Amino acid sequence: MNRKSFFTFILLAAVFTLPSACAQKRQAPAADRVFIDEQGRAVKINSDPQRIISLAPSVTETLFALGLSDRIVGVTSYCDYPPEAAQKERVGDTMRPSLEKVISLKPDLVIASTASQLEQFVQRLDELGVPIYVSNPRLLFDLLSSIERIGEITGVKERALDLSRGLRERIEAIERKSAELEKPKVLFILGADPLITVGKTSFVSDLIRRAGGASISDDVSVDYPQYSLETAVAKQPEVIFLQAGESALPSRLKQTPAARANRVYHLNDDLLLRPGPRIVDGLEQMAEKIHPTVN
Amino acid sequence: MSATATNRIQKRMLVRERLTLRRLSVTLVVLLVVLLLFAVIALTVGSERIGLDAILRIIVSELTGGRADTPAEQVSIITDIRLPRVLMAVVVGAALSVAGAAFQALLRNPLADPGILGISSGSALGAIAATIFAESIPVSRPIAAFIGALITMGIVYFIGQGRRGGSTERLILAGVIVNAFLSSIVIYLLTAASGPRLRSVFSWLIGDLGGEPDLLPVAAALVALGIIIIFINSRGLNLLMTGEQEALALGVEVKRVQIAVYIAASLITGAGVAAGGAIGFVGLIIPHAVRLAGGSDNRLVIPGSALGGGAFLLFADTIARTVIAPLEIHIGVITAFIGAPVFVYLLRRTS
Amino acid sequence: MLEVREVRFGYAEPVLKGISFGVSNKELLVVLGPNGSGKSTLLKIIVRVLKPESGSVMIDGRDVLTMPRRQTARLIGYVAQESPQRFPLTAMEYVLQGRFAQGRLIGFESDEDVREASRALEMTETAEFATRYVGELSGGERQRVMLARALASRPRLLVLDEPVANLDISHQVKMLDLVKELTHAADISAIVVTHELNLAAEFAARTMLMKSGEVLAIGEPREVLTEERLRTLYGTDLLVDQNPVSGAPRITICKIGAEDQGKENLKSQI
Repeated sequence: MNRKSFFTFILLAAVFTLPSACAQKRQAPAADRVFIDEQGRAVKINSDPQRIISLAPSVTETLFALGLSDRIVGVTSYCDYPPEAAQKERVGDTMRPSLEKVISLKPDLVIASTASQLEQFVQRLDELGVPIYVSNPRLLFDLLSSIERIGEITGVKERALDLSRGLRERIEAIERKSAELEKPKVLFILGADPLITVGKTSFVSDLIRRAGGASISDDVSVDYPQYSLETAVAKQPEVIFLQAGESALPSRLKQTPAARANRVYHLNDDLLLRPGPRIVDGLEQMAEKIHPTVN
Repeated sequence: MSATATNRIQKRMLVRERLTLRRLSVTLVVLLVVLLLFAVIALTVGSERIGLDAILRIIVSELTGGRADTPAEQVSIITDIRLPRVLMAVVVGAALSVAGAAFQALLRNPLADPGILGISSGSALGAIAATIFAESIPVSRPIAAFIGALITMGIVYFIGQGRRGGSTERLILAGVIVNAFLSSIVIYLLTAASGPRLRSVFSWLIGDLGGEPDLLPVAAALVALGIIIIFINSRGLNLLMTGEQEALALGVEVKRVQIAVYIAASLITGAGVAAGGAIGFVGLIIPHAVRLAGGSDNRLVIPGSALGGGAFLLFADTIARTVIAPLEIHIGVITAFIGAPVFVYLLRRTS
Repeated sequence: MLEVREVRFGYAEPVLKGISFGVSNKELLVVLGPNGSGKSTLLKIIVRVLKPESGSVMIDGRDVLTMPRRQTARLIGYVAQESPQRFPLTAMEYVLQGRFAQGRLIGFESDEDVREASRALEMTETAEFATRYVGELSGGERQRVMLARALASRPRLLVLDEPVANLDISHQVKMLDLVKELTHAADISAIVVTHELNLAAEFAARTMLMKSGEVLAIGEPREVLTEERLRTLYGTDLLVDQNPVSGAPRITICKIGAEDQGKENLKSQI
């Protein structure tokens, strides 16, 4: 065997043995289980993941609420709750996480949320053999089952059931209180210029419904539509919620019962737009503004 | 009336020898009527149905200072939402169309359009930067947009001229490059600046007439001023359009005309974009249509584009507001849909 | 009538090195010279497209370079080298541009402007094209419309930069005939730049030969267009004899055996 073919042999050997070596390394703790995630994908996850990366603020909040703070090895730069989350390693922002960073942290579980629109990123991780679970809460009660599922895959099922039971009771309490009351018309403003609001299928609309209000933009089936200002005025909203980032109510919405009655409220959008456990706090605040007398 | 006399009149109506005061007035009156008609349609059509009689009562009571016996929300829809939007469409449409006509004459190129040349992007960048860094200063947006237009125009002209004079293709390439460069700056600003403004900045880039009308009076005044300056220079522009050297020899103070029109056109682009965003292709379609109907004389093309541009944006915006109401389409989508084919047609014809 | 004195132009590289010459009343002067000899630059200085470094241009004793531009435009009609028209413009609109210096800055052309433009169109036999677009006319027709624009201000001097460059031989003759006729009938002097030596010899009252920014010779064609001078100036073999019909100098290109020699060269290469 001359030198050249010797090197070729070494190279070929390396190419063929490397992947299996890697695979063996991952299989080491044994006992992989296959879960179906919230998008219907099959994910192979070991029974007791110890290095978890969260790719969404809502997921980070859920993981902390489940007492898994020690096992989180990476979060996004938007993950600012609870404050301890800020001390975790950053893997980039929600929309553009760094693939290299994620791989280098050697996670045994990555959890993403459909809200961040990371389809391609999820596919890349999948191809690289990194177990990635996608949570997809579309409505308030999906969130509860999502929390239970995350508890199950991370091996803290009991805590998760406790957490979701508590949240469910608070939600039902709010629904009970507003059940008999009339439902004020609500306009939820995500952006004022142009007017961006929430469509029927969005998470926020579900919250409005459960808080005892009726969103005026429920006639649109787009999640976050650019909405006609004059329709908004014509529908005469009685309560207006503004996202925290919007400084003031647009002057052209002054001719509404909500503006006349001073029922225009800023809400902490972190509580409403992040489908994590704190969303029930948001729901309670919303219900309090919609039915101040009861709540 | 004898047959020959009728014949002669017909001939005079159809065959165009030159622009006369009569022809100018007739064309402008027709365009004005179209503009008013579209304005009335824009006022009466919307995602909410309000009867014509109610609208009339609201307008009459607004003018006389009385109170209409119509629901307050209807008054608000007409006076706070539709009317400002109609005025916005007229001002922005006039601004971008006249800017297009002026840049075309100035650069002797029928494809010059504030959007294609990147001048609108320059204005938008100015306005966005002003929003991010100097929102508290009252008229910072139109001023920054004006400066943005002025600088961009200078750069595009510099790149487009080259050492041996410019060509159509070279100028358009210059616009493409400048557009790409400016969008990279905009994207950088968006990434670096905080989140909630993102949506409205985006609508600036593609155009949105439904924004807060607080800039409308300032923008309208600046646009009117700019159009008057350009109109005053329209005879000089006519000669400039056939050739810079010939214009000099024919007695035009070329530098003076160029500088006045360049500044005025940048001013109205800036004012228009600051108010309604960088709506594309208006400056291309409208002057071309006016030339097609009434000839290339700028004494017609400038005021004709002002009225025609206003009417066109009213039309496009009414469509944008109503087709999938209560959802709204970006008006830039409509203008690009009509404008891109016109651009291709013009490009094929000029080169 | 026209007096050009010591005109210099060009900063780093001199294009015109102190040119002086004159044109008298009703005279047709044809300027000849190789490419880059400064002919077009000279014309552009006279019509004030370019500003000379020094020197003066006088018409009837008045300094053209210091008077208001509109006044110059009224004295001099300029036909530039043809450039493409990208905007549709009727011949009438085009010719009316020649009245810019007479008219108001704002507003519309007066009846007089229209009358003068029509007259110019008639003088160049282009009245029938008044309503047609300039871009749609043939080369010869377009050149005449361009001349009409230069005539519309009733100038004292016509300045034509290669007016026959893109024309066939019959249109070339027609064009220069027209210019010559104008100088006689309309009390106009004319300066024409061209590369057509034979046409120059035939039509010019005087010709001026230019060489790298200087006047090589000026005078009647037979004095200026000598065989020796043209050979050295253009570096081409040519023969000058007499046109048997007009008696003007006739310039013939000499390439005796050129074709055969070329074939020989090709053969040796193969």
